[in-house]
Amino acid sequence: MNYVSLDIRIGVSGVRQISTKRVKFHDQVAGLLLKEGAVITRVGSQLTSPIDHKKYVHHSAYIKQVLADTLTVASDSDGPLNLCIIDFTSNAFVSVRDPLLFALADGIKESCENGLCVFFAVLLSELPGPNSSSFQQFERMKELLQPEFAVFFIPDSGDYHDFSSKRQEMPKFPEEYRNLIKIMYGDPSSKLERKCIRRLGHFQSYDPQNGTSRCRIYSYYMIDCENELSFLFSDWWREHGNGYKSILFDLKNNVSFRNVVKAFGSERDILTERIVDVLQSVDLRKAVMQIGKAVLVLDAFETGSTLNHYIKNLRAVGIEVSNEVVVCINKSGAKISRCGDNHIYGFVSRSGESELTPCLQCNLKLPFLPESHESFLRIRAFDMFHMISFSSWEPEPLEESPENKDLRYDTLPVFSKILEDFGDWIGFKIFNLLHSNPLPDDFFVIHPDEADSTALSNKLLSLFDRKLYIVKIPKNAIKEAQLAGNSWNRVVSKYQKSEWVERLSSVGDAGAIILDIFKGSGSTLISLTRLLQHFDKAPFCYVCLVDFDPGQEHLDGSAIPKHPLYNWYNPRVLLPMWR
Amino acid sequence: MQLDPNIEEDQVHSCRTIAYFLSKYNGNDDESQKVRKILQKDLCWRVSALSVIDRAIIMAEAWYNLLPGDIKQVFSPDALRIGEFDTLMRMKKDYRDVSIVTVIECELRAVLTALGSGTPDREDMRIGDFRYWFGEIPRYGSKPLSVVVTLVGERRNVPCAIAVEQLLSNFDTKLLVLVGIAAGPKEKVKLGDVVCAKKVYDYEHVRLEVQRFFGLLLKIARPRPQYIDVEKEIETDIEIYDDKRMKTYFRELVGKTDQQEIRVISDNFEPSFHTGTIAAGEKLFADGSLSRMFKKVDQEIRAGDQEDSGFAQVAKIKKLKWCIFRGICDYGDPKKGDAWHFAAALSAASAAMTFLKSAWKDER
Repeated sequence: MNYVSLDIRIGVSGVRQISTKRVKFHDQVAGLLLKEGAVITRVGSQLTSPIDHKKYVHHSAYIKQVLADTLTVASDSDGPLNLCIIDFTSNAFVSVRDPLLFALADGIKESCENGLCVFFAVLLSELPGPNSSSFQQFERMKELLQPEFAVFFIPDSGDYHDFSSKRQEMPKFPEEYRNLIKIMYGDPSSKLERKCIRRLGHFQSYDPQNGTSRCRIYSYYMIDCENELSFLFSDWWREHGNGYKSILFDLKNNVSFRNVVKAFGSERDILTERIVDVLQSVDLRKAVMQIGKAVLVLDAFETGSTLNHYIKNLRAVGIEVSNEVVVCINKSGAKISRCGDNHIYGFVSRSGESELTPCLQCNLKLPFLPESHESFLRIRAFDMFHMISFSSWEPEPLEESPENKDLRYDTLPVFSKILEDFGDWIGFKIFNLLHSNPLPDDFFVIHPDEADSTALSNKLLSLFDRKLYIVKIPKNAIKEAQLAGNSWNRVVSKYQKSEWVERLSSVGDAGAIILDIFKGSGSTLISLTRLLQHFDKAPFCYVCLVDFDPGQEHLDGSAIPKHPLYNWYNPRVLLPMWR
Repeated sequence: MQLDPNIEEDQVHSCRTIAYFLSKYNGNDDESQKVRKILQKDLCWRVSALSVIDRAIIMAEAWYNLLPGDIKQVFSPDALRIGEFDTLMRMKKDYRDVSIVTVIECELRAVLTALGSGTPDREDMRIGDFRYWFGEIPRYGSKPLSVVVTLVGERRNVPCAIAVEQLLSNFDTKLLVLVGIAAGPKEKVKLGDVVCAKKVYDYEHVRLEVQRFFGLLLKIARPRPQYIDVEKEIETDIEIYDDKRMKTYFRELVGKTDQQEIRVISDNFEPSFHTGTIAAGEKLFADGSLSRMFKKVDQEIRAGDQEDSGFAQVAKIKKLKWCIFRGICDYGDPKKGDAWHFAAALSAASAAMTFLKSAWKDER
């Protein structure tokens, strides 16, 4: 049986090869939807279907054209098609607007009437609302079209909606599809682990039991993880939460989890209140007492001091508390642990932190930083030297230094070690830095193909949910271009067949973010800018971990905004100040 | 080198850190010498952006950190009183979580009573013409809030704006709160009630024009009113605030207060909590025009006073969150008197304290 699949990329202008992982995912989805035991063959285009912002904003019906072209070409060459998969899962649900789905409905109707295909599976991260106009349009279509016609809207949860006159029962489908999504995008637990970033700073936590504060150099932050937390909390509730009708929480340092817990409570009619409010309000206290045992939800568990304090005070006012406690981060070293009679269930585990007494940062009069957000886009000097204290110093590696060996740095921090120990946070800082400026609708990252830059771009890849396009330029090619006065004509011809040239040719109108570990004289930045100009691409900005030449704002006359995470005055050639 | 505070830490802090880390590379081995050189180069570049005093202090600290260990042993930082350098530095601004502004003396007394600390005649700090009182607001399960209270001493928007500006030049803070008394439209509020601003309506923005009407020259005042909204986050906190706490706390404070001052309050009096618009201009309402404004301009008006516009505008310019609590002491009509001043200020103070204690989220 033949099927065709479209990998829709909203906001992207360049056509790219559909990854083998995604092709396999489509094969497996087709396997679930088509007849059991049948031989399934994917036909048609091997490339993604981009819908850039211009088409997206001004021409929602463009999708109709994409669908018609794909189905016509595939059925002309491979005969009748049994299934068409339209995959939107690479896009955030919010970017799949209703007019687009409405136009898709028209496209599906036309394809059906023209006999190109009658079975469609639309893969989306969530189901659109039943009152949305696209949903209504699909409902109307099933009345108009032949009985074989079927459209399935399949959300990540697998609980599909069947728009067909003859409903098909597939009881095992949701679970099987959920597993495929987990394989494709990673399971929520490991995604959450990746998104839980250990930050550096000067933090202060308060122990309500003793009324004392202590300083910490680390704090944890969760980025854009409502979906994962929602999945894990619902999962926990299914297994352990039966019978409980109230949730009492203290989630002041984890806004995402607080939103998730409150939404969960309101959807299921569970009384969900802050612990502090319950302790202070007689009415709330009475309401909780009437309902029965409450489940405690906290942002972190470490020594148990806060938990014990809450349990003691809640019990003192007559509130019964379950001995099953949910925490977002369990700092006892394991996700599940015990604290006296209480079972602590964490979604992420981290090891505890040593207390800082006396605090060096307090001695230096460095201000405290809030836990709920990053105060500065850049890295503080203390954090930089803290990271360096875990690595060591080395001369600049020969293979990464300029041709003129006299310009080589005789000592630098070992950046590979810094990235190994603190790469998640550095990646997160760059992620924040990029989002602090208006990003182009479509962008890609370009960097020299060296271990440290690759380690950094991998961190970004995981923060962008693997939806980041990366082009790595071999160091040799950069050096060859530099020797030719930054002329890329011959170098590009020489490497015509290589992956990086192919990737650069396929990025469409996307803006380039040039990434580097450090900038000494700016020679790599100039070379990469010229390379982009050779391909008629616009460099959007330059991002690096350390800028050793912070005075130089615009290099080579080009006005590319520079975004270093840390400025450190140490340019390759130290010129007198008057120059 | 101009730095945006949201992008990068204070340059004094980064210089101080580098000056400290220089001491880690104080040795004569090859690596220490190389690292020291690049740290010194960076420090020289950074301090060039500092003020003369800050620059001198940082360089002195760096110099001290590079002294050989045996000299440091004899001349410890305490012996050289290096810690005293701090008093000269630019970063001498004190920090308080919340800054409370009061306009007249009875408002200050009410706030200090609600804080449970200090007396109006004994301030904790005086800088120029402005006096400051310090206190703490305990909060359940987290660190107490540190508070500074100031007194404007004079009615109207401009003196209030000057006092807030002065306060902010001496203190870093997260939230500005104005606690005081005001007139209210009797259609909506009663004496002793509290109004918390969702927006401030500055009715004084007027364009004066001359128009000819059947040959006569008429002076026309065209209103161009200005609205200043509280921040969304504060509005949310106000919405979730439970006013029962205010009522309980108010009764508690009444028990601690000189009964002569609150003689207007009956035994079963309970202030109500309102949210809405506060009209602010330069005029003291004593002619019933507040009620007319409520009926004709904005039916969300719950109070009228002479300071809120200046207060809110400074807060907005300084990008600080703000909120206003006003106790109703009269109806702005010819019958207005002073009898309710302290009681109204006390109910506003009890609302402000309980709001800060239970509803305001200082970390988001």
